[in-house]
Amino acid sequence: MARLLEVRDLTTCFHTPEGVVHAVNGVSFDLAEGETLGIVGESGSGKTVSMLSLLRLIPEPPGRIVRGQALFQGKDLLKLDREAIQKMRGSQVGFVFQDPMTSLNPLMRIGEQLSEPMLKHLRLTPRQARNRSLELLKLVGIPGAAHRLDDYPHQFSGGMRQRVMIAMALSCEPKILIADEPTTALDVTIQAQVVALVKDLRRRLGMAVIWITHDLGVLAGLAHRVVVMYAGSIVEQAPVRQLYKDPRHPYTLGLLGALPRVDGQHAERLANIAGRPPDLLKPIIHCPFAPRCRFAIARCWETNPALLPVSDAHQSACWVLGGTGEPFGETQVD
Amino acid sequence: MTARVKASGQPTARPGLGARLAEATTGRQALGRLLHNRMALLGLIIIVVYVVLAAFPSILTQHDPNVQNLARTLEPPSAEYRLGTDEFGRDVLSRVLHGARLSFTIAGLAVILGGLSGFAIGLLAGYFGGAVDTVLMRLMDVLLAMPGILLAIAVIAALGAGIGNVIIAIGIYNIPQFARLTRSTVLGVKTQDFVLASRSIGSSAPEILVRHIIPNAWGAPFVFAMLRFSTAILTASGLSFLGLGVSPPTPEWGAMLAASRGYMRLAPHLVLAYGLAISTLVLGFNALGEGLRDVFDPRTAR
Amino acid sequence: MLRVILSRLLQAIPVLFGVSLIVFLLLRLVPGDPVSTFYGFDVGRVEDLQAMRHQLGLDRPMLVQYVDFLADAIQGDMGTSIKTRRPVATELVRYLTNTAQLAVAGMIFAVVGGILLGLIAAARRNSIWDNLSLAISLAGISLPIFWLGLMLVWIFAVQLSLLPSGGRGDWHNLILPAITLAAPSVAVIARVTRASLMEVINQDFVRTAYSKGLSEAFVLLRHVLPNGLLPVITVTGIQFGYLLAGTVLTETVFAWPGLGRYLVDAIKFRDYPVVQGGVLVIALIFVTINLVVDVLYFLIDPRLHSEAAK
Repeated sequence: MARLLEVRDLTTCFHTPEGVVHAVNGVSFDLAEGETLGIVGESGSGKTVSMLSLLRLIPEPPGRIVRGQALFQGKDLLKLDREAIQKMRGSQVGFVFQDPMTSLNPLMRIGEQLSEPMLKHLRLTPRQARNRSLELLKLVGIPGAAHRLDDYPHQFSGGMRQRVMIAMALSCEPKILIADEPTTALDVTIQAQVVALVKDLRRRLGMAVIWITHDLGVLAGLAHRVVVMYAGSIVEQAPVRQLYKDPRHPYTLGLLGALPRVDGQHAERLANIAGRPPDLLKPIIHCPFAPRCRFAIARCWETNPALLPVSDAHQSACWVLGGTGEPFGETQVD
Repeated sequence: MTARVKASGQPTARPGLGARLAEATTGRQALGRLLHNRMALLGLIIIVVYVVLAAFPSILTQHDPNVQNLARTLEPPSAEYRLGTDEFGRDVLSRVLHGARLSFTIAGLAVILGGLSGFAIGLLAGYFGGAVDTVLMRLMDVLLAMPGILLAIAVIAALGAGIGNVIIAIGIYNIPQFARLTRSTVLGVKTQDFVLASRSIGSSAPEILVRHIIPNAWGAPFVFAMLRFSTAILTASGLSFLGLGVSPPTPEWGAMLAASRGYMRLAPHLVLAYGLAISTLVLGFNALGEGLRDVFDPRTAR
Repeated sequence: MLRVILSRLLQAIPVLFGVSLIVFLLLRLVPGDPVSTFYGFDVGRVEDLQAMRHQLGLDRPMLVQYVDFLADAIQGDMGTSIKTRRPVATELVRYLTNTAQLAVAGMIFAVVGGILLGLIAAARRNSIWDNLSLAISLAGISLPIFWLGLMLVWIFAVQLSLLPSGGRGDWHNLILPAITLAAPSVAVIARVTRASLMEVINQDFVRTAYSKGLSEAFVLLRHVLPNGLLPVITVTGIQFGYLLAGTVLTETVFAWPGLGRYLVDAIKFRDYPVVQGGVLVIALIFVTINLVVDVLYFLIDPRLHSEAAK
């Protein structure tokens, strides 16, 4: 599979009255064409901010992308001028946000909101855009789509709104769909439907998907690879099976342990990871997970481990369980 | 500043400043934040300077504001007359400072008059509810149906001009604003546990009002009174400018401005001096108000 | 929706009724009457005064006078001006047309200027634009409009000779009075717009709009502004009332032959019928505007439609 997106050393911070919050600290990962990448972590781990940073959707100020590269088909998204990045948003990369109740403009008809990206990027006429909006609503499985184009968001249920969001994100057939916890705000049964819908659309349209979640369980049947984030950094990444079978970071272990298991086994599982994520206002020299880690050794408190290979496609940043090879990223940057 | 009130009697979609002021009850903390707010500090400094100069005009000038010197009319600012002289050769600076004294008096008394009446009305309407509430608040709606300076003009139309009547007119004009604010505050206080408890042990309405409601409801109207000063000063000088308020030779800013209009080409310093005097003081009160808004309403904090 | 309008309409009636009663009483319970004012104090013939009082109906019982006044007012008859002896209604209409012209021009300045200023401040929060907008707003509510008017005349008419200093004529005569009249409202509308839009700007759907690749200007105008408009409409409605009241001062400064100036003259002359009619008409306009604002709410926010239907 050809590489579609290369992110290197992405670093984003926010200037708040309390000080500088280091939200994303040197994140590097790749995305191949047609691949589904899961990004998992607690809230505040920087997964959303790193994705928003890619398309420069964080409010600046107070946010600031300090450094890094995000090569999309060879072009660095972080260095594009304002107009060029606007052309990327919606046309090359589609976004689906967490809360469908608040992510649609309450005062605009659904059909209009769906049409906007197509009018802008594909230069369709309003009539063409409307026809295509109808197709899209059908595609995402909205019943009676023809009658719903002129409805307002409040006339839709949460699950239906998320389908509208997905339709909107896909309207210009982007190469990448970034879904930011798209099911968190929905009922369990609706969640499954949305996951199934995205899987189905990916198969039919062939785009790459980045699926952000705090729930490793969702990724099992969905993602090819998983990136685990903690305190603004990637602490482990691996193909999904390998991550489940052989987790190499205590935090991943914790996330896996927090999963409810059908067979009731895994007696030693951690119901929750004790403690709270670190305060990102202060610079941390030690491993950010050390205060919550039951494996922590003296070295963990001295230096923060780098992300090192465990095997070919598997990296982990842990002195105790992690890899020992050459650092990921550095060798791959030209 | 305008209170967000509507004549139809319907509450507006979002609570106005008043309601939010009503929510913030602890004063000590607010005062601390206020002094750290540059805008509020600027306003306070301006007001304090004005108060001091109005109280002791002799700091800046020894001239009597009413002594005419027809040999030296319409003189531009000089060492002797720092802001020049007016059409009768009176010292402009002295008249400006005595005008400040008058403005403070009129605005202060009017806000006290309107504030206390409005507070009482809001208290009764909010506490007793029902028919009392309906009648009183409809009456307030009637007053609010005459917007801005117009209500004051209508009152002057009946009472005639003069300092006392200006105070009454602006006082009446302030009543509905205070009544609405107080009422909404009282509605919040009335349902709190200590009031319900007091009522359950059989306290009478006056007892509850004096002991529980008033101590918990005066804060917001008090702060609001500060905000009303700017409008009161503007309205008073506006009435006098129209010839419906304080008339010459009393050194009233609006009246002096009206009188010096005719000399705008010959002696622009007159119009400048009186206008800037009003503007700066009103700016002081508005800056303080803007600061108060920030302090009490963190949502729009800068 | 019709029911909403009707209920508001019903609420407005007692208010207008109250206004008429208060105006009527205020002008009669107070010493001094128009007849002696008209003749001055040197005229001693009591019979003449009595005759004129009788002619004007001022010798009848108060209640009769009020009921008469109200019944006539409802039919559009506001009595006869004591000073000019012409029907008040006709005079009011003539002066009101001039005032309406001024008020509408002022309102356009106020709404466009206020929203623009607030939008810029909200979009560039804490920038120099935001501070500039704040400074303009503070000035707008702090400068007495009669002084602002005089200064504008001094600069643009006296010094630069660009615009006329007053009176009625073509649109040139309208510019300075309209700006003067609009200044306080520009300030208030700008502040409310800023506060309202700042809440909207941080909402999720705005991020969605940006994620679609829309330009900032488009997002601000098409997505942010409409969602922040409700408080702006409320405050604009209220400001229209203040603006109407402000015409009294503006018309005096610019010698604009409108209702406000007419009213002030009538007060000085104790021309009861004119004062009554004038105040009543302005109150009527103000209450109507509030009614229109309430209805606009429903037109703008589709969420309210379904609530009203319930």
